[in-house]
Amino acid sequence: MNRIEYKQFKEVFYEDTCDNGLKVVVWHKPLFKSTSCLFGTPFGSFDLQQKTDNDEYYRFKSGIAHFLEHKLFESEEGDILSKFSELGANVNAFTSYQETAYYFNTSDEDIETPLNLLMDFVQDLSITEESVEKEKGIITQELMMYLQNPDSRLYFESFKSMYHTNPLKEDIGGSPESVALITKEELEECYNLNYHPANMTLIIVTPMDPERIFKIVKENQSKKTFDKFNGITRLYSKEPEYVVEEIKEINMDISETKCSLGIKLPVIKTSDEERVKKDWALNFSLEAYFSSMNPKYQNWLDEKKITPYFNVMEDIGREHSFILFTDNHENPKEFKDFVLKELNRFKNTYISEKDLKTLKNRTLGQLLRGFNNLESISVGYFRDSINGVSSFSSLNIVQNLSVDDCMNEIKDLDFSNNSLTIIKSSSN
Amino acid sequence: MNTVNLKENVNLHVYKTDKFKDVNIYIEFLDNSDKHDQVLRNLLGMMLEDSCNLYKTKEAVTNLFNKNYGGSFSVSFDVKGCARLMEVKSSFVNGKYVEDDTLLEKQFSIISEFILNPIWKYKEYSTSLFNELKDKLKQQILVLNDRPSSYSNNKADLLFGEYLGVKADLNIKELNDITIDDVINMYDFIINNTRIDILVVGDVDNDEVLKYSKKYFDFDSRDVNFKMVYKSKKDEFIDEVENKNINQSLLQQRYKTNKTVLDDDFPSFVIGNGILGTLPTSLLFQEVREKRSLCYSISSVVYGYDGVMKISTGIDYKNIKKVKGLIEDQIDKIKNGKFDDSLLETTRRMYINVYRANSDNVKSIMWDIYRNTILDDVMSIDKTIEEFKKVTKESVMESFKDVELITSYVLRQKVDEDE
Repeated sequence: MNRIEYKQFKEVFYEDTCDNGLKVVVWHKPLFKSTSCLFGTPFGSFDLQQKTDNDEYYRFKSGIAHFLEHKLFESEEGDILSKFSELGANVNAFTSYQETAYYFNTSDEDIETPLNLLMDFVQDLSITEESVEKEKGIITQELMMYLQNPDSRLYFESFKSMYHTNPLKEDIGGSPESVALITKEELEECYNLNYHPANMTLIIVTPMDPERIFKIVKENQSKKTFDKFNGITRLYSKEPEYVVEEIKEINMDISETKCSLGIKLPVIKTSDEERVKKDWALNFSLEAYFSSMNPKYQNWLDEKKITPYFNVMEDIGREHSFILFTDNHENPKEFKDFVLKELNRFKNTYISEKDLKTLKNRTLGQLLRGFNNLESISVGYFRDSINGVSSFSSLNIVQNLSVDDCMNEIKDLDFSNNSLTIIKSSSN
Repeated sequence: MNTVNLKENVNLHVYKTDKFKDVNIYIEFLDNSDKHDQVLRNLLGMMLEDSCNLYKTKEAVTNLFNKNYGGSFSVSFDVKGCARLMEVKSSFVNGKYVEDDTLLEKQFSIISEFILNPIWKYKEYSTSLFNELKDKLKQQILVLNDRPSSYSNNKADLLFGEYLGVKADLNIKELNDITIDDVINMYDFIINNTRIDILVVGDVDNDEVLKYSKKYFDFDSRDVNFKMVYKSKKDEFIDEVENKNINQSLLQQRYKTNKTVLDDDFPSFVIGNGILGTLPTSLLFQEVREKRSLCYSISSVVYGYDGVMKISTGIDYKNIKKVKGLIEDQIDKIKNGKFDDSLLETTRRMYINVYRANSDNVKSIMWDIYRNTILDDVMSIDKTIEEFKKVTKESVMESFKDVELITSYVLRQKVDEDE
C-alpha cells in the first residue's frame, strides 16, 4: 500500500488496489472514535448515454442512477437499512451529477461486519418487478418534495432553460414520467455496466489500524468473482452554444419572486489541472467583484439593484461551463440588465493582489476545516478522484494563481448566451 | 474539561482536544422570557453580525474574515425548552497549521468587537442600514414561509403554542413596527441580564484562554435565575387544514409527552421514540414507507426540554386518513409493548453509538458541555449511555403512557377537480 502524508496538515492516508481493480483508500484519523466508509461509482445523473471499450452503446432514462441507488438497499436476505441499524451503524447514499455513493458511519468497535455488509450489498443487485414498481411511489414523493421547494426549483428550471442536450437539464432524480418508465432490465443493465470493482472506489476514514482494514477489504473481494471489466465512458450529445429559452416564467404558490440569470459559456477542452485552474480563476474573480468584498456592493443594496439574497455561482466542468446569478428580485428584467451591465465592467476589472491573497487564505482555511469531518473527507476524496485533481493539488493551484491568471480567464468572456428564469407568485 | 467561574453567572469552559484543525468559541446568553419577540431578537442578531464600530462596512467585515483563513462569526437566537438563547459562534483555524500564533487572540478580540462594541454605542445607527437589515429579515421569513416543509413545521408549532410557539412566531407585521431603540434595549437586556457561558473547544492552552477571556469579555456579575426545561401542559386538541397550491401535502402532529430530560425514565422515552420513528428500522418508516410506499420520509423527534414529540411527513392528501391511522397505531404499539425485543436492542445499540460519536463533532461537544452545565450534569454522554443500557420493554411502555396528540396540522396540496 502507498502511504501519503501531508505533514503541514498532519493528515495521513493509504492507497491500494485489489486484484479485481477496486481502489481502496484508508484515511487514518487515530484521534476520532467514529469510522466513516464510502463506496462509490462514477455513475450519476449525467450518465444517460454510455459506451464500453468494446463500442457497445447504451441510452438510459433520466433518473436511472438515482433509482438504482434506491434499489440497492434491497437484498434477498431483507432490508439493508435495517441490517445496518442492527449493527449500530447509520447508512445512507446519494446520487449526484457524476457519482453515486453509499456510506455508513459508526462508532461501534465492530467495523468489520458493517464494512463487509457495505461491500456485499453494493456488489449484489437483487430486484424483482414488484419491488421496482413499489419503489416508483416512494421516488415520486421524493421528487415532489424537491419540486415544491422554490429554491431547488429555480436551479432546476435555470439549467433546463440553458441546456438543450446536456444532462444538466434533467433533475438528478428524473421526472415522475421518466421514473415510471424505468424497468427492472434497464436497472440491471446499468448496474452491470457501472458497478464493476475496477470502476469503483472504497474509502474508509477511521481510527482503526489501516493494515487491518485493507485485510478485511481484500479478504471480502477475494471471495467474489466478476466478469471482465469492459471499461465505460460517458457520452454527450452535441450541445449548441445558444440557450434553450432566453426568458422563462414559472408560477408557484410563493410570496417572493425569485429569478436567475444563467450565462452559458463555451466548453473548453483542456487538461483537468488546467480546467481546475480556470475554475478557481473565474470563481475568485466573480467573488471579488460580485460579493461584499467589493465596496460597490453596499451601493447596489442601497439602490435596490440587488437584495441581500443575491448570489453568484459558476462551474467549469468537462462538458459544461456556466455562471448563474440568483436573487429574490421583484423586477427580474431590471435584475438582468443590472447583471449584464456589471458583467461588462467586471471583464475589465483586475482582481487586486490583496483580494486574491485573502481569497487564497480563505481557501486554505476551508480545506483545513474539511479535515474535521470524516464524511467530508471521504466524499471530498471521491469527488476529487472523479474531477481528476486532488484537494492538495487544487490548493497548490490556488496558491500559485496570479492576478494575470484571473484576468486572462475573464477578459474574453462572452455573456450574450444568457437565460432569465423567473419564479413568480401564482397570485400575481 | 476545565471550568472557571469568571463572575457570578459568567463561566468559562475549555475542552482541550487536538482532534480538530480549528478553535471554536461559542458564547451562550440565556434568559427565560416568554414574550413573542423572536423577530426582534433575530433582527438584533443580524445587526450584530453585519458590522461593529471597528469594522463598519460589509467590505471590511468580509475582508477581515477572509484574511483570517475564512474564520467565521455568527449570532443567532434559538429557543431550547424555556431557554431563550443568544448564541455567538466563531471558528478560526488553529494558528499552528498556518504558522500564525496570533490567531487565537485575534479571534477573541474580533468576537469582542462585534458583541461589545456595536456601532450604536458610539454613534447613531444608520436608518438606511437598519431598514436594509429589516428587509433582509423580512425576506428570510418569506423564504421560510415559501418552503412548505418549514412553513408547516412553524405553523404547527404556533398552533401548539408555549415555547414552541415563541420560537415559531416570526411575525412580519411586528417586524415593520420595530425601532432601532427597541433593538438597543433588547441588546442591553441580553448583555446585562442573562446567564453567560463561554465555551472553547480546540487545541488551546487553558491559561492563554483564561487570559483572553478576562481581557476581552469583562462581563459584570449578574443575579439571574435561569432554567431550560418545562413540561408542556397543553390539553386543548387542535385539528387544522390549510390549502396551498403545492403538489404534496405536509402532515405535522404535535404530542404532549409528560416526559423531559429531567425525568429518570427519559432515556427509556428516547429509545421508545427511536423504536417509533427515527431509524430505518422504526415502526413509522417500516409501516408507512417501506410496506405501503405512502411517503419518502417520516420522522418522530423528541423535544426533551419541552415535554413534546413531533411527527412529520410529506404525503399525497388522498392518503391522509390512512397515514394518520397508521401513526396512531404505531404509537399504540409502543404504549402496549407490541414490538420485538430485537427492535429494542437495535435501537439501543444505535443510540449508544450515536451518543459515543458525539465526541467527534464540535457542535455536539459544545452542546453537551453547555447542557450539562445548565442542567447539573443530568445528561452527560457517559451517564446517558449507562442509562440506555438499563432500558427495558416495560420501561419504554411506561415512559410512553402519557403521550397524547394535541395538534394535528395539514398543509394540503391543490386538489384535482374530480377528487
